[in-house]
Amino acid sequence: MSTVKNLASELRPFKTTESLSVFVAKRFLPVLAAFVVLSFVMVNQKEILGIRWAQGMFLLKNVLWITVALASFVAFYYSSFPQKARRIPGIIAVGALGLLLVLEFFQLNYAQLPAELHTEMDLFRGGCGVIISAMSMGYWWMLKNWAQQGAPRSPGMTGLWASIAASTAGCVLMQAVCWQEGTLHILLWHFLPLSLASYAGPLLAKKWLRW
Amino acid sequence: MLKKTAEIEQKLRALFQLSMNGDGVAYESFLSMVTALVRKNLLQLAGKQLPHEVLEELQQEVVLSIHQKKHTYSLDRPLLPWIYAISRYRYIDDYRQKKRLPVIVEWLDDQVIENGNQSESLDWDELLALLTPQQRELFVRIKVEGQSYAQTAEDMAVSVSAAKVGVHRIMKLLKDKVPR
Repeated sequence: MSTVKNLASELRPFKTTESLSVFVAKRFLPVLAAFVVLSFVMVNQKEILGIRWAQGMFLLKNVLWITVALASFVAFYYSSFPQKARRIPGIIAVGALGLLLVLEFFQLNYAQLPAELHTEMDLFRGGCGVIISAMSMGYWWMLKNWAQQGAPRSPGMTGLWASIAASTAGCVLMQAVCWQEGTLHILLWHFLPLSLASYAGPLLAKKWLRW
Repeated sequence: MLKKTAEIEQKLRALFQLSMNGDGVAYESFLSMVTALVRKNLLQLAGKQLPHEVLEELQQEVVLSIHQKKHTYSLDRPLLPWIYAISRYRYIDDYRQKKRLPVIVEWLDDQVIENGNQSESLDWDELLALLTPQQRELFVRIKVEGQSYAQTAEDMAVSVSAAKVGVHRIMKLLKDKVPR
């Protein structure tokens, strides 16, 4: 009982957690906007951008990347608070990601695979992966710090959603910047950082998000 | 049953909302109610076989977690699931932690303490030096001299449950320091 008394004596007025809309507006949209602006700054062939935006597939893929980023961010938010468990955002994120993968595999030219693979092993082509990783690591760190203020029931899952949200936000950035449209390139240098982050994120989160 | 749960929920919410404005009395009532609920919940989760001192320790940890994470409750949701979610997380976390090092606890309990300074693998004085004077006295009285909790609590002017929790914490601390 003395513990209760001591805790009660420490009490100061406090506010409860932000709602989802406020959380998204404050912690996701500015980052996504910054990534998109950065991508337009980084594009070196701006004259072709108009032609690209007219392509249905390009638009569809962008929509899907943004869907994955937003849905996984929402799943991250829900997993960071004890009583907010909801599965739908996670299902949407995984579904959209799966669709993106299916689209890429569908477009893969299997006859040209060895030649393409040889081209993709060039270090310069791997620049996309480096940029996506760098962007997503910074954003993941921010997400991890926000999750530490919450109370994630399953730190590993929170880490996984943070990794997917951060990496896909990075992929949204590279989607406009990168002019290599080869499927193998996308699978290797855009999906690989996402896969690695999805592996490392939960492991690190289990360590850092315990409370 | 449902009506009773709804009443508890309503009462807790009212107290929580007052606490948000810094009302210490309401918060104390809130935490007292939560303590009872958590105890019941932990017994449901673990079954009756949970040792008393472990239950006390866990209960304190859950209440402390609720206090530390009170800002994570969102007002548009029911309060009881939030409390039970934290309680469950703490219980599972504690279970996992113990599962990782169960043998060492047994070994410490049964062998080292009974054998006292006969153990060659441990520097007993070094381990005891890790404790505060009060912890050392508590530990030596109960685990080395075999004094009862009630007698020790009386001699040291603390409650019996505080003595039990104290010993449990000391065991946990020593367990982490024992070379594997």
